[in-house]
Amino acid sequence: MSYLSLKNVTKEYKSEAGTFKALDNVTFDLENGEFVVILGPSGAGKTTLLNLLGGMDNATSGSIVLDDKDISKFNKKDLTLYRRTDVGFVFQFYNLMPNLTALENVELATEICKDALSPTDILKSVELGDRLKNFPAQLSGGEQQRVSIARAIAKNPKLLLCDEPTGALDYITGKTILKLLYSVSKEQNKLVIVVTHNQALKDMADKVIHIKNGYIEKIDVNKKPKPIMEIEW
Amino acid sequence: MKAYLKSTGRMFKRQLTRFLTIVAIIFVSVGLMAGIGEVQNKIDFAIKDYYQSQNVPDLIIKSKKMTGFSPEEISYLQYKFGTDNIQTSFSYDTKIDDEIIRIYNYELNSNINKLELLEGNFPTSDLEVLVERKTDGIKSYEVGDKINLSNGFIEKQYTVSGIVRNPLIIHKVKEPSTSFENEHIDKIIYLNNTSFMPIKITNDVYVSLADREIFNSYSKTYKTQIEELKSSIELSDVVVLSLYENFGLYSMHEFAGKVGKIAIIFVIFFLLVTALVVFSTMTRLLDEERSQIACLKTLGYSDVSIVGRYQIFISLASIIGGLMALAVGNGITKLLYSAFDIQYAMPPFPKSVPFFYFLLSFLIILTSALVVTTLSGLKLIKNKPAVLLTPKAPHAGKKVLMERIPFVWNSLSFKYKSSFRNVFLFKSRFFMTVVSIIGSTVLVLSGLGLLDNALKTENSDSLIMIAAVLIVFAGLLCALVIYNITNINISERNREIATLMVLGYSDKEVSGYIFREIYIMSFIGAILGVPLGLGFLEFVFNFISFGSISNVNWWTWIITPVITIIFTTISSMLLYKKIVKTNMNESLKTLD
Repeated sequence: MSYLSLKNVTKEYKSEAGTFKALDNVTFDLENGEFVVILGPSGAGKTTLLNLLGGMDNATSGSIVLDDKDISKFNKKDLTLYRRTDVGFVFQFYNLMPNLTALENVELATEICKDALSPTDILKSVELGDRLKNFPAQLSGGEQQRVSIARAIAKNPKLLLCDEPTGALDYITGKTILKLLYSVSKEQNKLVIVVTHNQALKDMADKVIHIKNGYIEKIDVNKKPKPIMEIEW
Repeated sequence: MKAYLKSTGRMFKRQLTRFLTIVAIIFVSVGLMAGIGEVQNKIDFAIKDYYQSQNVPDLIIKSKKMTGFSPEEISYLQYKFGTDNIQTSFSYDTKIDDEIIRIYNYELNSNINKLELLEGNFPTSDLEVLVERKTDGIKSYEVGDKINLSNGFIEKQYTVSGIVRNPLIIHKVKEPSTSFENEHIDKIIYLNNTSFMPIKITNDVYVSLADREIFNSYSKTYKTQIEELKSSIELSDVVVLSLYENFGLYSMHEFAGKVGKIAIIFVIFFLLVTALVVFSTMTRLLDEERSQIACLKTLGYSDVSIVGRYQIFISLASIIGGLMALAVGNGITKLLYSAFDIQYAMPPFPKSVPFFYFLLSFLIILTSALVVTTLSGLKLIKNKPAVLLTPKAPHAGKKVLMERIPFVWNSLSFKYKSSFRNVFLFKSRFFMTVVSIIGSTVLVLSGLGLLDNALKTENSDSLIMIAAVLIVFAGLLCALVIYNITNINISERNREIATLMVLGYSDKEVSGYIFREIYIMSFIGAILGVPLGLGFLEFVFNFISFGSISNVNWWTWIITPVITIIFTTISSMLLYKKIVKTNMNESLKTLD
């Protein structure tokens, strides 16, 4: 059994206009320590997939098994606990609390989590050791995203989900952030999933899942991913 | 123009909750301001009415001579004031069976100082008498009672034919005796101009000025006129009393003036709270309208037509709130007016009074709401469309003063640190919430304090009603402000709430994040409200010479902040659902 396994996952939204299938029979398997890119244009179903993997919504049918637990069967309370302990989330716009310092923003996640790592150590590891007491408004975009990543990995999650993590950053900063995420997957042996519409990222991933109109178009496996610094977009 | 109106209409629909919030705060403010303010007006109007309908004498000239006024003196007064404007009378206080009885003897159905018949009939024979009604200070008789009176030579038996109210004795407290020092009248009997005494004596002359309009409830002109008249009376051995020496009417007028002064405190307080509520609500509304405003600006709409939308919004809300307040304000005035019944025999509530205070309160509130809206509108609109199209930068996090006291700060749990920073960061909201909660606490304390005193008073019905009204309005004020501030916080922190949910915070933890700040501010307000309420209550009790702090139960001081905090909790809980229904996808959206 794979670390993360999706089988025939379908998500439908019902409205007065009729039923809309946002995801149609999605099936794939991912292993721990992999760096995965989910690629697709807007409206392809990336956000829906992210919602299901992140425990923010239930699938209409199919199963999503992470580390032997089927999260597609979880109720609201289980899902909250799942988000609390098992998923690290990195947002496009960082979503830091403006009134909390960098350190406190990381503590925001570790405080409610049992097996959390030391927030100070994590911030040091993302090279923000001297920015612990700064508020988000005092940090650059790249620094804010590093706090966001630190917040996501400090809880020692089973899965790191990143939604367009470089979308709001300049080219160089974007690259350093991707490098950081890549090293998390390799050095800490985590499954890192990056959702993006940026085609250039496909070369750096172990696996690339192409999604289109709600179904999986194809899955590419890179035997030798390109180092991030060689990728250009 | 059609599209512009459509978009304005949709703005009203989109901002319905905010619209209703403003309607409600204006309703409460104008209702209380006008309701309390109008009392003085109504009472003075009633006094004036009563003065005219009962033809209350402006002057009472009392002779100090045993034999009373001489026929020459009476002719002089008749000549000076006009025969129709004076009424001669005889009165004296006597002690019978340890009771002091005042006896009047004059033409009872005279046109001057008309006695109000409360029960029975006017006398039809010399042996029938009228008696004054029972008050807190005066005992009375029943109709048909027999009274034996002696003039020192012969005793006669009289029958009580009716019970009356003398307009000069409209208060209900003790009436001092003119003959026995430091003693009070127990009973008052009116003889119908009978030959009670062996010789006819006149020792009182009532003077009623021909111009009944001049009084106008103790106007300045009246005062000058009365002083001139008093000094122009050329008689020796007389005392001239005016309506300024009349305990009943004058103290009623003075008391109404005091209520009018207390009303000013309410006016200032509610004006402040309303302005703050309108300011915070409209600021948030305008922030949400940024992209709309930017769009209108790029299309070339003038600043006037853009800000005009929000001026129409606030004016309409004010007018609806104000109209609703009209009935409630009148109800409050009526209630306070009836509370005067405890000390005074109040004339009926006057109807035909222009709503001067209502219009004044409404115009003050409307003007300040418009000014606040226009200022925040102009401040936003002077930005370039490009700036307006980008989202408003979040309030930058900042250390608060408390963090400099590590002993206190470090002992706080992490959640509280975040809340305290927000509490002190948003100063106008902090001020608005704390001031409103203080006001609410003071209102509850006044209500309960009044209740503690009221239950010790006879005829306390209307005081209990006033206490209830105070507590209801305290609740309304608290609910409105807390609901409003919570609602603003939720919509402003939508993204933060969604992020906390994604991070795995439970519903309770997420709502706690919003509520904690509200509770900190409410707690500060409720605690500060108690000493301030004590001061206010002491001032009011002293000022209106009713009630005392010592009559207030000890537990009232404890229960008051608890009640306020319960009000806060209930009103914030109304928004619990809105918080937990936040869509987690808000955290993924682009900033807008």
